[in-house]
Parts: sequence; C-alpha cells; structure tokens
Amino acid sequence: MELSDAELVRRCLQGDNVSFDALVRSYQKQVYCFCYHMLGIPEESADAAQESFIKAYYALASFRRDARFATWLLKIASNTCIDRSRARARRANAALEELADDAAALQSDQPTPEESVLRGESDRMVREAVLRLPERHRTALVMFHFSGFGIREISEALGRPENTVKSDLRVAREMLRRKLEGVVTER
Amino acid sequence: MICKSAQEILNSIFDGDEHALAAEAREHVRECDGCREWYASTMRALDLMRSSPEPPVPDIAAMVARRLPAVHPASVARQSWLLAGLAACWVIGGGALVIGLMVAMRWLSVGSIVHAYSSARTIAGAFGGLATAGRAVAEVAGHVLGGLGGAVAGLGPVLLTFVVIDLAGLAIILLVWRRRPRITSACLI
Repeated sequence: MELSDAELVRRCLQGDNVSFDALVRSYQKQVYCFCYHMLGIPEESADAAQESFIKAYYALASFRRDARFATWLLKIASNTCIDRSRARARRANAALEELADDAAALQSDQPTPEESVLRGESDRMVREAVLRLPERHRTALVMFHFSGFGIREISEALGRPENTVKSDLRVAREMLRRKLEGVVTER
Repeated sequence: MICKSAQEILNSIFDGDEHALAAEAREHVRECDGCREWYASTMRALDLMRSSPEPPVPDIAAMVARRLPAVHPASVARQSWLLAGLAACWVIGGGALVIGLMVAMRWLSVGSIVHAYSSARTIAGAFGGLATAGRAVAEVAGHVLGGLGGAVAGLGPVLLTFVVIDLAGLAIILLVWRRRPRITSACLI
C-alpha cells in the first residue's frame, strides 16, 4: 500500500525513520536535478541535495499537512542552493570552469565525432546559459522548465506573487533566448 | 496587433495560460519577420533546455540516512513528556497509597484497639477469672474486626483514587510502548 506524503511525515515524527527514507527516495531525483541545474557541479549538487533533505528532516514538524511536500521541499532546496551559490560567488566561477572541463571530457569520450560533439556542446551551452542567469530568474526557470512545477506552486515555494513569477520567467526566457541564439540545434 | 502585445500573449502561453487572442498573436507572428525570428529562437532555446539530458542521480537516500539520528527529535521530545507524566502519576499514586495506609493504621490503632481494651476490662471486672477469658477474647476480636471494617470503609475513596491514578499510569505506559521508536535497517546504515 502506497502511503501519502503526509502520512509518511506523521510516521517520521513518531520516530519511524524508514518513512523519511521513503520520502527521500521519492524525491531525490527531483531535488538533485534541481540542485544540479542551479549549481552546475555534480558533487556540490549532491551535497546541496543532502543538505536540503537534512534541513527538511529537522523542520518536519513545521510542515503543514495540507501543503504539497514537493513544493515545501523545493523551497528548502532553493534556499540551500541560493546560499551555496552566494558563498561560491565569492570564489572564482567554479561551476563554469568545471563545465568547460566537462565539455572537454565529453568531447574526448565520444566515439562518433560530429553529432556527439555538437550535442555535448549544445548541452554544455544550455547549462552554462542557465547558470549565468541571475539567481532570481534561474530559480523560477529551473522550477518551471526542469522540475515541472506550475506557476502557483513556484509562487508558493518562493513566496512571490504569481505575476512576479510570470515576469521572472519571461525575463529568464528572454535572457536564455539571447544567450542561446547562436547554438547549433541539429540533434 | 503590435509586436509587443503578440509577444506578451505568446509568453503567457509559454507559462501554460490560455489566451483569448492566441490565434491573433500567432497570425501576427506568421506575418511579422521580427516576431517570427523571436518566436523561433525562443522555441529553440526551450527545446534545447527540454532535451538536455538528465544527470545521473547519486544515491542521496543512503547519504542522508548516514547523517540522521536514530529517531526524529520530535518523537524523543514527546516520549520525554509522556515519561514525565508517567512518573508524576506514579508519585501521586504512591502518595495516595501512603496516605491510605496511614489512615488505616490510625483507625486500627485508635479505634478498634481502644474499644477492644475497654471491652476486655469491663468483662474481666464483671465476671473475673479465666472462665470468661474466652468471651473477652471473642469480644476483643469482634471490635478489632469491626474497626478493620470501618477502616476499609473509610479508605474507600482513597483506594479508588489510587486505582484510577494507577490505571491512568498503566494506560500511559501502554501508549509509550505502542509508539516506541523502532530501530530499523535504515537507522543502522
């Protein structure tokens, strides 16, 4: 029998950690992918995802049962990523440098040169373009286009009015469009 | 329709909204070179984003399980409260028992013993000798038993309180037992 998220939360609060494990397994992909698109570095994204789940665990008592667990969790993940990217902003453009390394690795790994290189290159450029977006717009864009959240859910998660979310998305799309204008799209 | 309005409408469609003027906006895009180019490049950017591969996901659950305590702190706090309540019940229950015993002792010592002593003296004075000793003993026993009965009757409310409190204590123990933290394989990872 599949238990609801609210029931799993209730059980966890009663001391049953297996319920929390089930919650983590349900959402680890979504949270990790979100962190990955926000931060760009796999290791740091895994750390951020872990940290988000740990924070969620200790804040579980404050979770409202009528809310959607995924929204609440992504709000925590979003704050975690923002904190981490702010801390990282003081350092050099680590994610972007790593992306360049990834691209080099991708290119050298691919057996069929042209298509694979083009694909790897365009993927890298998409990631780079997303990472270069301002934090505010990046969060909305990743939630909408990668995590599959609706405007209302993003509004709840980020605590911004729906119209502000729409405006952020519009700006993000426009910035992305300009950054990716020259990217080859043959796949 | 002007370019700005058409792009606004198409943007709201990208957001997942319905728009009454969607057909008009699309018509404008077909006719206007600038908007057509804008629309094509936006769609291209969105397609690139949608088709970018998902990264391989590490086993976050195992990493998280290693960093969690055996049970959630909220459940530990609740158990502490329950145990505190349990202890309080037992202390109060114990107090009630002591008071009950004291009352019983008082009734026995003051009531029946005095009665028995005075009865024995009266009987012995009136009849004298060992022949009446048996009657005296019976009289004393009767008073002792009477005093004991009175003591038990007097203790009724105290005993009842004690029983109620201890039943509550028992219920709390059962509750704690049922909600006890379960040490599972996830806790041991």
